Amino acid sequence: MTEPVLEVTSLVKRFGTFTAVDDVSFTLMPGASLGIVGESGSGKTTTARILAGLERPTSGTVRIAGHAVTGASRRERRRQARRLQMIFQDPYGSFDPRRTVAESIAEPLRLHGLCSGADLRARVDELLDQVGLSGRAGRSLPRDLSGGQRQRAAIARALGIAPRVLVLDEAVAALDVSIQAQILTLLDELRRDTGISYVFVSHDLAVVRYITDTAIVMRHGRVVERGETERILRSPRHPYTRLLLDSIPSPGWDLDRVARARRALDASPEPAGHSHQTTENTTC
Amino acid sequence: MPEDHDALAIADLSLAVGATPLLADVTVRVGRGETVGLVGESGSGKSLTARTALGMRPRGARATGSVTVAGVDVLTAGRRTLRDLRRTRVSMVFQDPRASINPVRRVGDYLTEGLRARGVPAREATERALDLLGQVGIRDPRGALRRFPHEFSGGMLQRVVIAGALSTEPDLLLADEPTTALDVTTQAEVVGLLRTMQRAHGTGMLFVTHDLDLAAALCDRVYVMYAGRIVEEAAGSSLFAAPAHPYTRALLEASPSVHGDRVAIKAVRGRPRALAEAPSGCAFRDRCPLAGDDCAETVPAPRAHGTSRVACLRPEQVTP
Repeated sequence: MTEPVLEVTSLVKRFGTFTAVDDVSFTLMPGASLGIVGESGSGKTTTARILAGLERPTSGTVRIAGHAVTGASRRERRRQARRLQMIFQDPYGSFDPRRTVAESIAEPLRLHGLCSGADLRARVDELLDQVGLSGRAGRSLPRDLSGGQRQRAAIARALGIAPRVLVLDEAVAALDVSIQAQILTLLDELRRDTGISYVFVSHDLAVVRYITDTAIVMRHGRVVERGETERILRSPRHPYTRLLLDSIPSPGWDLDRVARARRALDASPEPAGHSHQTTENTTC
Repeated sequence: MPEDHDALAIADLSLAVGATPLLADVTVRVGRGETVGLVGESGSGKSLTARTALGMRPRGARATGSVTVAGVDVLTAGRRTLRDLRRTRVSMVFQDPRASINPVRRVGDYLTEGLRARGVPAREATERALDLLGQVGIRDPRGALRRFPHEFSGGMLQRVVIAGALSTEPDLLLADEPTTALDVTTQAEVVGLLRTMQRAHGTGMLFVTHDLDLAAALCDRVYVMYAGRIVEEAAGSSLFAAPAHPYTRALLEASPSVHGDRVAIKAVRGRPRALAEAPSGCAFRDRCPLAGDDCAETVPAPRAHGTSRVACLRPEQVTP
């Protein structure tokens, strides 16, 4: 049996008295794609940041390709970065504004000692080509590219060091519909061609349906539902998942039902056995 | 004159700054009590169109055509007339409620300001504000009046802004992506609220959004904009079943959906354009699978096709 490429066990993250992530576990097989779905405050982004080593969990473990993520030393973090890369919603914030896109894509290759000189240039061209960027786009500064092009560049940079897992945090949320579709089809092709695995963090169930095989639904830091994405969408078991689905605009949208369902869910206590406290704002 | 009965009538509006064209031949009508969607991607000119209705134009912009709000010609109106119009007949709700509300003033001040400016006595204005806060679903309205904006969540503050926008019972409400920054469950509630309030007050609403699903579900009629022009006008209910413009169809095919069977999405090549960088003739032709040489000659004039009005030479190939 093949080993999972990512194993997350009983992850907990507390900020002071606030529990952002509460006992989250999942596994990801090589070449698979997992969605983490939730609204603001669900803990989905904190979970993603722990995977990438940007936050340390209060307790619980993350294992990538059999190696425990500790983030203890620089060297350890660099090794970890070769196995897992992250893509953010706004790629503009993650590029050096004074460097060309090609230089930014070359940097991790050089840093990890993967190639240099003519090989490096050839590899960067190959990566640009793989994500559908022209050589001219490669010679541009990030500010001269459109949002979609920048997101392609971010993907090229992440793919360069051939990670096993790509964590995408709302990676297509800021893009126009027609551009979003381009990035989604690109991600789909890349997964087929390279066998890379995705953790796709999103609030958008329709996008998650397109890009993932399995998903977890998070609310207030906890996983409330998990399973195959298609099953979750067709026959949701948790009332919160149902509410999420009912909230999506559609012909014959019943807004009164959505409002009632949400009030019922907010009023109902946490299921038995969950001694979970949230410091929820009383105004929401 | 039929315009007198419309909350908003924009006819053949073109807008340019220097040599840069921003909008061309935009015609949008919002009847009293009607909900009209204005849909498009970035740079399509949808927000610009909505703002023109308030007389807010980019500095140095030249406008031709006409914009009439509740019988007032906005393009030629003086400052005083515009101020009166904004104070009493038109309101606007933006994407980020925190950007449109003074953070150091109490919510009560925000809500009564417009009423007081109209000459409503203080006590009556407060009563009216309490009533409005109750209507938009704020618990403990009396306490809410004394609180500051930072004490509210985004969804709750947007309700306060909506209450403020409707406090003067305007003829026209301009809603520019009012739910884009909100969670999907909150969006559903805020949209429901907007619709209920708007119906109760008989306000016409122009709903600007990038979300085609939302526009189709909410609006009586929808205008689709591309590169500073209206490319299609259709009933909200028929937009999905029978898109008439290749761009509308492309948007629908590019959007993943949670409904029905899982189908592949089709990406549109290229990127959305602004009017200034659009090709000659039909602005969509360089991305359009149906484009022919004739599309480059002139900008297609809007014409009726099925239940739509569409600016395309061959809508019969989009939906027969």
